[in-house]
Amino acid sequence: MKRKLYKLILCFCLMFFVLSGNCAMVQAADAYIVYQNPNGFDTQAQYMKNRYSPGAKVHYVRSSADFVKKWNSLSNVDNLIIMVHGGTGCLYFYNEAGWSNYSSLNYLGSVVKGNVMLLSCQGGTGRTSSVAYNLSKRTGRGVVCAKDSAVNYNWLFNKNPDLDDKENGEWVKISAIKGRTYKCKSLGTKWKYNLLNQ
Amino acid sequence: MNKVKKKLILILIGLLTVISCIVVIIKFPAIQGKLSSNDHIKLKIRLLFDGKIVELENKYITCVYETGEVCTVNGNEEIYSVKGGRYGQYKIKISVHGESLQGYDEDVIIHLNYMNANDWYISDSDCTIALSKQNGGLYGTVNINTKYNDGNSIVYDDTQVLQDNTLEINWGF
Repeated sequence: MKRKLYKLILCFCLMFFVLSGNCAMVQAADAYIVYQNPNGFDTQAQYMKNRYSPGAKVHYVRSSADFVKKWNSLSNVDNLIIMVHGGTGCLYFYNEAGWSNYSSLNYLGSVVKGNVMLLSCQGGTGRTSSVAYNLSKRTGRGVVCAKDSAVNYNWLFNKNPDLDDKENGEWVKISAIKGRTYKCKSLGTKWKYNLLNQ
Repeated sequence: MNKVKKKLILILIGLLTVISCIVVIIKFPAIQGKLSSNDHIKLKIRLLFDGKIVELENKYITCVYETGEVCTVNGNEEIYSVKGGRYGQYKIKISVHGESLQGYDEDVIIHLNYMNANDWYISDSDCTIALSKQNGGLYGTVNINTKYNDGNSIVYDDTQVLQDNTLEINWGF
């Protein structure tokens, strides 16, 4: 009888060990959607991934169709980081006019566990027409982005993103509360990966 | 003797500093682009209609930055340039009057939307736009070869059927 009990406890322990191991394996990791070279952000994305998100998956895109396809195929993401060219209210892809067809993007409310960082130029410019607001509507998450400024990458000291216009621009977190109400929280002019958690 | 040596060392240091500065400027296109006061976006535009060259006039070529700010277009005939120097889209519009398109006689608008992917880019684009009448419509064949100051280059090739006599070209990165 005692032996059976021991065996049962051992079985439970084994099951717990295996299950917890599996859970750890499917833990959400950061995902990057990156505009590919030429004139892309390949090296910047690799730097960001190695420095801040080891284990992250990097998805490369060239066209808006690629972007929509990669977006719609995302699964189990911690933070989503988007490194694509952009302007006020639109994203730019290879030889295309400004893209803003957000309705073609699946809603990622249950896919993205953390937040979204949009490193496109002017990502937060234009209030409810901004790319950030529209991506917040498609994810149900806050979108950290540059408002009233382009984004460049510091090539002299490191490859971190930086505001092009620190006088007028700032990093902000834009949210579409309940999918509608526009909320913009100022995060200052210095970029940090931790802005995702603020 | 010591004074002469000191002077020589100072001159040598000065020379090395100047040479290093020149090397830095030559090596880093970003510095080159930031320092240059010349126009950053250069275009050579060749427009053909049924194989014949159409002469362009500066007054019919305009440029607007993505924010709506009007930019001056310099140059004439084939070579044009815009100041540039900002990240974003420069929308260059060419109005071609019907009388220049013998046998078609309708005005045509060409939108050359150039995306400047780096504010320090100095670009040199060679654009050939060939318009031709086919099956009652107007076709536009476009070839643009763009060279950047960092040594990279891109080629844009496209053929479009003109809608409302308008040709839309998005290129630059």
